[in-house]
Amino acid sequence: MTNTYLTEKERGVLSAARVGVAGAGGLGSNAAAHLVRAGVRRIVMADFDAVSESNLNRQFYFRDQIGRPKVEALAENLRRIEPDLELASHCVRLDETNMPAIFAGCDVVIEAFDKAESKTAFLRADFGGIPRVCASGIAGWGRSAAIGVRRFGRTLWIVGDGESDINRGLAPQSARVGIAAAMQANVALSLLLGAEP
Amino acid sequence: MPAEEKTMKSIMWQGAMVETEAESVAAFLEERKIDAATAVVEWNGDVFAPGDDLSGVALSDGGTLSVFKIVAGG
Repeated sequence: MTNTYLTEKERGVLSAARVGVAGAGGLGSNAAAHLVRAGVRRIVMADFDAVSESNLNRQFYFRDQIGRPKVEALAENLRRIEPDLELASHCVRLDETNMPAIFAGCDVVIEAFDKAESKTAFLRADFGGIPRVCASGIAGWGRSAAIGVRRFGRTLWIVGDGESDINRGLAPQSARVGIAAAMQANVALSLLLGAEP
Repeated sequence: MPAEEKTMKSIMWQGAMVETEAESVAAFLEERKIDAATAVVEWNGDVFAPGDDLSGVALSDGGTLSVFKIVAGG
C-alpha cells in the first residue's frame, strides 16, 4: 500500500521513521492503524493484555481475535493494511523502568494506556528526549471540540480535555477515543514531517 | 519572632493572570486543591511529571504556570 497523496520525500521520511506505541488498546491500536495508513513502516508496540469482548467497542480488533495477545492481533491487522512492516512486538507489562529500553531508538512514542497510573509511569520514565505524545481526558461522548493538543516543554504533547475520566463513570467509546487516537497519530506525523502539531 | 511577610505575585495561570501569595508551585496548587501527583505541570518552560516534588520550585512575579490533569481512559 503506497500513500500516493504524499511526495516521494515524505514517503521516505515516514518509511524510515520508527514510532513507539505504548499500549495496544483503544488509543494504541487505532493510532497504529492511522500511522501505517499514512506510511509509517517501523513500529515498536508493547502491551501485556489479550483481546477481550469488551475491547471491541473501540479497539482495532475483531471477534475472532478474542483471547489472543493484543500485540499479535494488532500486528496481523496492521499487516492486512501493509504487509511490508517492520514490527517489534513486546507482550509485556510496561512500567517506568522498562519503557525507556523498549522504546529506545524511536523517533516518537505514543502513550496509549487506559489506567492513569500507567500514564503517570510513562510520564515519569526517562525517555532521554524522545518526543512523546500522551492522552488524557477522552472518555464519554460529545464535547468533540474540547479535545485539544497541548504542548509541554520541548518534547511532550498531550491530547485530550484533561477531565473526562473513566473513573468518574464515563464510558470509553469508539468515537471519542478514536478522535484522540487520530489526533495522537496526527501529532506524531507532524513531528516526523515537520508541521505544526 | 514575626511571621515572614508574604509578597503578592502576579502569574499567568492556565492562560489568565492571577494574584497569589503562594511561595512555591506546590503551595499554589495546594491552594487550588490540585493534586500534583496526577498532573503534568509546566512552570516557565520547565516540565514536571506527576509526583515530582514541587515544594522547592519557587513562584516568581510574571511567571507562567499551567497544568494538565492525567485521568484514566484509552
